[in-house]
Amino acid sequence: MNRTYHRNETTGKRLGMVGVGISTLVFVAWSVWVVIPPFFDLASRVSAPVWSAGDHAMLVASLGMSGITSSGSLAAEHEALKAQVQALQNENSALREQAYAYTELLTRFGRSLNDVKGGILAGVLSTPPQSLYDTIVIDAGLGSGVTEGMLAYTNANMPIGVVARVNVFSSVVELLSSPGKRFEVVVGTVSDVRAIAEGQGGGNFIIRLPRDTAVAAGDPVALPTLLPEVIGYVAVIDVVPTDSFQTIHFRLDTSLQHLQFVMLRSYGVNIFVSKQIPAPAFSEVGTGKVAQ
Amino acid sequence: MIHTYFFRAVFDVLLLGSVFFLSWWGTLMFCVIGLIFFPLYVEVMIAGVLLDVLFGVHGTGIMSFPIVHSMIAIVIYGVSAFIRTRVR
Repeated sequence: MNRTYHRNETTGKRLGMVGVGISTLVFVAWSVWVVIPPFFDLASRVSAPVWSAGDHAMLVASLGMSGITSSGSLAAEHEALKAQVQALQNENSALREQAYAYTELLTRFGRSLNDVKGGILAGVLSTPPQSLYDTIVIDAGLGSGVTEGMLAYTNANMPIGVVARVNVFSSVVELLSSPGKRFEVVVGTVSDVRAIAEGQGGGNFIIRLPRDTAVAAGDPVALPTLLPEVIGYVAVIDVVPTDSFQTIHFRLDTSLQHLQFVMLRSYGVNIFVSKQIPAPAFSEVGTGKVAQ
Repeated sequence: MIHTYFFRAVFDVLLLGSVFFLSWWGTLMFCVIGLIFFPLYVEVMIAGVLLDVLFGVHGTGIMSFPIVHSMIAIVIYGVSAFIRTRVR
């Protein structure tokens, strides 16, 4: 009798503790939800100089390290850089020809490249994976004319994200690859297949298309804009015999960790859509055609 | 006693630095180490809220503000408090 009473008392205490814990959790979550947003600006004021100081420290450290490297490695680095410059010059001449063709085309239709160029330059303060969110923090805010919904481009005219939060001195850019975010893209150069890409986090995306749609590894995936704004290139195509859809995998064609500057431009409309991508019929492992 | 406070203050600075300069798992490691070595290490929750404030964007559903890091911090703090009562 006495033992049963004690057991009931202990169970009651435990249930009470669990109840108190859950109540505390809910209360703290609610408090954070209500109290924290006004501190965004304060946090941006404090954090921007800290990140800048960190960047300067890294620069000084790297300069110090370069002073103690051997002459042999410097010569090798010099050769590698020469080769890189040559490759970039070749690429540049090809792009110049392409730009000339575009200018011709735009002029015929009464548009100019200036319509689609320009924007706000911003330095990148932090890149993933500093948090569980797929976001980057930039050093331009309300004072620089940044508004929510602007697209962030890398210097190669590649869209990587959307401004999701604007503070006074900084802004938070949500990457296109944020998990669950969907937006319209054009796949391929010849067939121009329209599709919905879905972010998978960490710069990765998937597209689900009917299996008969002609898509090859290496095809560019771009936003449906006047100038082709390539996001990445098709890397892997998963085809499961029992599924009438194929799953296309691609990733941002830039290294997010080494991102230093972004260009912000208005896109005009909300880039993200709320369409659902049809789920795979079966969870079998696909054939996985990999890009060469 | 003074030593404990000193080490805790130094560790707090390191934790704060990790929020700004390390990956999230680096911060998580600092949090776990702090919870093991210091009693009532509430700085974990401050780090969680700071991560949300700095990097979070609008949440989905009823939550207008994402509190993923804050919630994780609260949970690991709660778990550590529970384990501490059991091992002593």
